[in-house]
Amino acid sequence: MKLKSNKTKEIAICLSLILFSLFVIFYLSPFHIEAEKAEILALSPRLFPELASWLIAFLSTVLILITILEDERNRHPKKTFNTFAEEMTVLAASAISIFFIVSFILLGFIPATFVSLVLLNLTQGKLGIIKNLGISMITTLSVYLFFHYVMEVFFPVGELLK
Amino acid sequence: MIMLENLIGGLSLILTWQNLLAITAGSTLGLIVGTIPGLSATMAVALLLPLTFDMEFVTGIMLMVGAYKGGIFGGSILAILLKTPGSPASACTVFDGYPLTRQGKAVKALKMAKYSSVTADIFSDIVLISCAAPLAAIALRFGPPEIAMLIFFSLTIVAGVAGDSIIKGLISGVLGILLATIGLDPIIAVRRFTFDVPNLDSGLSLVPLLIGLFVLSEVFVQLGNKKNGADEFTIPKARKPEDNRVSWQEFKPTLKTIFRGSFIGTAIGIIPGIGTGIASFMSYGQAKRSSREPDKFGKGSLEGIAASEAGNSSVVGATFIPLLALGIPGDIITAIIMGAFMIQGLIPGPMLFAEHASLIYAIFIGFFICDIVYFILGAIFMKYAGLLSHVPRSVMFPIVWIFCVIGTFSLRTSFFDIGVMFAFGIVGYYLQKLGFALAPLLIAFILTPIGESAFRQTLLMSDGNLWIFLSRPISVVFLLMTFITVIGIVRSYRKTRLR
Repeated sequence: MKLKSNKTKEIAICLSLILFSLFVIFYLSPFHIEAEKAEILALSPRLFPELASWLIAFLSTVLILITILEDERNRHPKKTFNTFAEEMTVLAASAISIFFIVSFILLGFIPATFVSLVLLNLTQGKLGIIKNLGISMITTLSVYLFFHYVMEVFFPVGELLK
Repeated sequence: MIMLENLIGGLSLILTWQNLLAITAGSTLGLIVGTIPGLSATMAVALLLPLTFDMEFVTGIMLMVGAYKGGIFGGSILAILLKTPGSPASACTVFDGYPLTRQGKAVKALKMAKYSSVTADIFSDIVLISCAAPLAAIALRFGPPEIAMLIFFSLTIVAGVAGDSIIKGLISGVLGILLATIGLDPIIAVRRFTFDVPNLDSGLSLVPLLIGLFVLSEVFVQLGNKKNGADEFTIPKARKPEDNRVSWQEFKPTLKTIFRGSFIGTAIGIIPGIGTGIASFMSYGQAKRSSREPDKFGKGSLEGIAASEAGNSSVVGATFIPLLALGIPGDIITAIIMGAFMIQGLIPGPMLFAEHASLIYAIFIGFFICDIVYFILGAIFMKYAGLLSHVPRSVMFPIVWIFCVIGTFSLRTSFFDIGVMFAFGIVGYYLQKLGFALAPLLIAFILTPIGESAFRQTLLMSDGNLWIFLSRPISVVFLLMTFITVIGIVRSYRKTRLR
């Protein structure tokens, strides 16, 4: 049952890749490459993107055929798909990453890093609140001081604090 | 006789406490910076450039060379311990270094990396000293057809690091080619897939992509991996004393790989603009193909570490060959060092050999001293890198996360790059989960810009006639090598499937 489910997922992934490559060939390449049709092949900036897209479509088709024709018994069940809990943690970490960029621009490095580290530690659920705050603060300040004074990487002041 | 005089003159110039201190300081900084994901040897050398203005010429150069060599090796330490390569050069070391760490053989892996790096470094230094001028002259004969075929040949490496599914590996590689086409076209400079975003005009930057794919995706995997329950970030301890050392019996069989990798790295280093990342992947691919135990690659093979480290370390000395012999910088770092030469009023090239031979020989001897210094410093660093094992997982990975951010940001102080890094962190995480190897994507992404330019320039030269590739001897050699390699890959793939 598990094998069949993996097989369906593999085919779904390949179909998505084929759709993606067709999207590149028939939409992105004609409308998002600023070039007239070139007389010499080498002058066309579309040569490599379209060649790559056709290759993706071809290889995905081959993979679908292999998946369909392959004997189920020869397939090695792989732990490729995630549990719900893993998925949620990764989604939370991704959301924190987006929050970090926005808060870095608006508030600057120290508040953005401190809050993001606290939130990231919360997703782990391993540290108590005091320990979490302490470690996040120490990490933020040490990293800031090291980069500011030793590496001479200067972080911009947040837009809201200017 | 003249060479002996120059050597003696060079020795008297290099053996001062200031120079030894500069080499030690440079190597230390290089090791620290190289260890931090996203910060590379390039950054360390660039940071040191302003400090060299008031120094003696040889002292300033040695400070930068120390940082260069230390930075390349430093990148491999966390690649082995935490699967977080500090730079593209050490991305390949992850494949076998990290599995060894998980088997409780972290110290063995680090020592193997160090021994092969230093051996390869010494090899390329010897080549630098003995063959600087003639080799650079040969490399300068490489025109677009030769470079295009060299890159075509290099792309066969993708199959070697494709993971469990060669087709998925190839798809991953082609995705890398597609991503590399974002930005201005290399021939007629029109925008491709930039969507009116100015930051995309120069294409996707390598560092955010690399950190996102290889480091951040691993952080996501670790953050999501709560099943183990254990909070501490554990570097498994050695089960036996042998796991903490590399015996002569283990080192001896890798010597062939180290010398092959050193040769590849040196050859790559001589050709301007190709770089350490490609050298380590090429060396790794060749080592796997010619190994008696190719199945062990990717699962903790000492030969794999030796190949990767020999490949990337041997580039360092070789990049100085075109710089010192002909005044052409071999990569970004030697371009920065060339700046240091010029600030001191010295123009690298054939005239420098004629007018300031003892200075050149002082630098040559300094290269060997650098090797010894970072061999010793590397041992100290490896000892303290082990302290990472005591840092709890819940502390370690958020810290790695923040280093990824700063490493990316510090490159061009760009928020856009941080966004790119996060995007590729998520992409990398899901690609891994869906069984697509990440290494082919990275290799193709690095190789495509050089390959595309060279291929299209060649077609322009020949009015679109592909026969030009068969009319140039060096290009034919690379084409034959590609053909032989592809046949070898197909045969070994069929053998594996039958097994």
